[in-house]
Amino acid sequence: MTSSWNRRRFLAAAGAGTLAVAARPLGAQGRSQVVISQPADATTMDPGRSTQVLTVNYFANVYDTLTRWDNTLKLQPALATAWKAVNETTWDVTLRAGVKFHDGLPLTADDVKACYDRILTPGKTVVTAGFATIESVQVQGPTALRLVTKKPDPLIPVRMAQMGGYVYPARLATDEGVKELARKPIGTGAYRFVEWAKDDRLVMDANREWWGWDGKPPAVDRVIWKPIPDDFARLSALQRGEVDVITNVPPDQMKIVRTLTVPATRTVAFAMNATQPPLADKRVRQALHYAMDIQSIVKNLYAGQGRAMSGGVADTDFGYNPALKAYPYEPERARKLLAEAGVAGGIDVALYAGSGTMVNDKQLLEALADMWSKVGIRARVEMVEMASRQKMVNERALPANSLLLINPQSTLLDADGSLWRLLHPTGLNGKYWIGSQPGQRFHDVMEAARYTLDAQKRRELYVEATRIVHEDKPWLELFQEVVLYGASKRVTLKPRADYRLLASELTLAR
Amino acid sequence: MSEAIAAVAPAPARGRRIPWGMVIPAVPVALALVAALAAPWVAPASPTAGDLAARLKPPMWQEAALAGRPLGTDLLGRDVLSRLIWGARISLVIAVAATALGATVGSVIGLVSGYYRGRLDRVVTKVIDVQLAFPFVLLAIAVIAVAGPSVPVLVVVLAIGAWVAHARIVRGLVLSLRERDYVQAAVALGARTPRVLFRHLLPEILSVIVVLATFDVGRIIILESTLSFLGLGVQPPTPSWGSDLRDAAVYVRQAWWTATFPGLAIMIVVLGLNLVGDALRDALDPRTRRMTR
Repeated sequence: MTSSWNRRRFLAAAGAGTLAVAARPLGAQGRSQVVISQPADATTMDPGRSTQVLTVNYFANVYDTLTRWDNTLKLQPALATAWKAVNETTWDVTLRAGVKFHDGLPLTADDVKACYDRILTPGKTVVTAGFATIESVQVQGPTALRLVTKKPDPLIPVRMAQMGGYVYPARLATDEGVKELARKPIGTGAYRFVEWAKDDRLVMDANREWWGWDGKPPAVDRVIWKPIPDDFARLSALQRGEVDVITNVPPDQMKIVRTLTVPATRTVAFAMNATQPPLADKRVRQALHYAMDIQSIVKNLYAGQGRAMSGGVADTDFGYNPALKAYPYEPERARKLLAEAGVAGGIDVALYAGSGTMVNDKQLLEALADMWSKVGIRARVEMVEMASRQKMVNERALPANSLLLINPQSTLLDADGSLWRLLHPTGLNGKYWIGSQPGQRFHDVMEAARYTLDAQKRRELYVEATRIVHEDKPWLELFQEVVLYGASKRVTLKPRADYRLLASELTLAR
Repeated sequence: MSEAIAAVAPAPARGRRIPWGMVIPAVPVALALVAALAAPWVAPASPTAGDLAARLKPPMWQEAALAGRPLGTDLLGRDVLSRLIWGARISLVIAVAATALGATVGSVIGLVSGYYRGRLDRVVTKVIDVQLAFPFVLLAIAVIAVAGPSVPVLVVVLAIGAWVAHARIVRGLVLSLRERDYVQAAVALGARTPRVLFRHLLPEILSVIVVLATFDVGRIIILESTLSFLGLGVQPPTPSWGSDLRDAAVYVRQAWWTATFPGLAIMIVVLGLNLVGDALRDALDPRTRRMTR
């Protein structure tokens, strides 16, 4: 009894200590400081080793890419000031002059080449796939680069902005160097790394020499990232004023804190192994959709924060097809489709989800299973550890007639970075659907779009591809997510649809 | 002590004294038993069928309550009362099965080990010591991570946690009982070992095992709830008090009833079991008062 009391007192004291430190918005020298809390710490600071959305947020503040999306998702110059296609497979890129790394050394084309070469070497990074169309990178001068692609690639300017394309000094791009980079990152970004106590705090200071300040002084001098995994604890920390900004506000809790939202580039779906009967039959897959009341799920489980969708492409992406609407909730039609497919007696499927994939994941599975049970679809709910889920994803080991909850983000703001990333034969869901395989119409259309430079032509190809997805339902499509941040009153922040949380975009009320 | 004696030897001439100490705590236990056995008939609704439009409705004495949902509805609009009733079935089935398994295995090991002594006994006591030194929840997580969560796995894991206490106490009792004259006499008369163990020794210690098992059922209900709370126990959508408690934890501020009732159910039933165990011990075997607690 005594020991538990001591422990509690210790925790209370520790909590009070944190509060005292964080409650000072202005640092000792009158500097402005912001505390940001995500549910997880960075797993690494090596931008080649993670595409996890929370970890990439740490990268995005320290490192720059060659091009970037602004707050409204328009493509803008970043480390590159100009780029143009010399011919169908060659791009010339001009780097910004006078850019310095955080260690004071100048950025040169050699640094960019070293980073890109590392990305292009299979096995060195986890981001190779997004750059796979690039054949080679050549240095033409201190600020001049040439990118040669394997085939005509219309998306080169966008590829340079995607996650993974961050630039760091060439000396840290070696096998030895990246180990140092992972702990002590050096980039050209708006904030430079100061210190990192794993799972406690990661501190960054404004880089006053950053090219992107546009003549204005940084509004935030110091950013402290303080990971708090528990939703409830993160919300309370914001309410108590210990932190200024939190990510991943559960939709149910939106009312209790000041919440900022924007429709996300991310979708929620279930990958589906449709290689065996009964799910191999298109009508059965359609029945799954007709028997699911997605409107009710969004409204009740996600406080209306989500947009039911069909066709596999979010409305933030090039290739979004506004003509396609989510299937309505029509259980009778589902039953009829099952009967037509010869499985009037019902079918058995398994619903998998990693615990913690998203808010209310378990409830989502249970609600689906309950809705489906009304038309004879018997769903077994399997909540698994995130590690098992990762294994299932990496090894493409989803059992036949099983579904797995996924919430993929669009990496290029183009159907190529969402639909074709996932339904490509090597993609997460490509192995599980006949339509993804070479020779099938969907495969050919997506491949054609990938190498078509004419934007109008590409749009037409995507219209056809999304219609095939809408008809064929290679996966269970649910809805497009909404970004939900909580912020204290003194912070002005416009959330980005791509989930990037950039301290350089924050302003503070004085 | 006088109470205990009275309970051991109730004097019929004095008229029946109702043992309130046992009856009162037995009420919630009996209720849980009835709920478990008759769940399909007493539950007002299906424990898994929900209605998202009617989620998080309060219990009947609050405004905005829904007819036919006396204790309100949970996150998915399922009837809290029905989930409690079906949850009793799962909790009790698992707890009783695990206790039975653990008590049987533990008692047999204790009997054999205490009777034969020697090298076998030294090995058994070492195994017991090792297991007692090992954090049980960690062991359970490891086993379940490998075998996958399912009710049979859960029963075995919980039985692994239960056998030790039985083995230790039974062994201790047998060590002293085997020197008694009547046991020696049975051996001298040529009784074979199984007969000595199960006809002469076991009946003598059966009351201790029963008392111990009563405590164990309560302890295991808590353990099962813990594992379910951690997501390692009963899998959704099967109702379980522990997993319901976890789902409700985030919503405590908006819907207190979703967490409160499963929590109360665990507390009252386990408390009841412990008090019944106490009373049973006093009644059956006042001598072991110190040993079992």
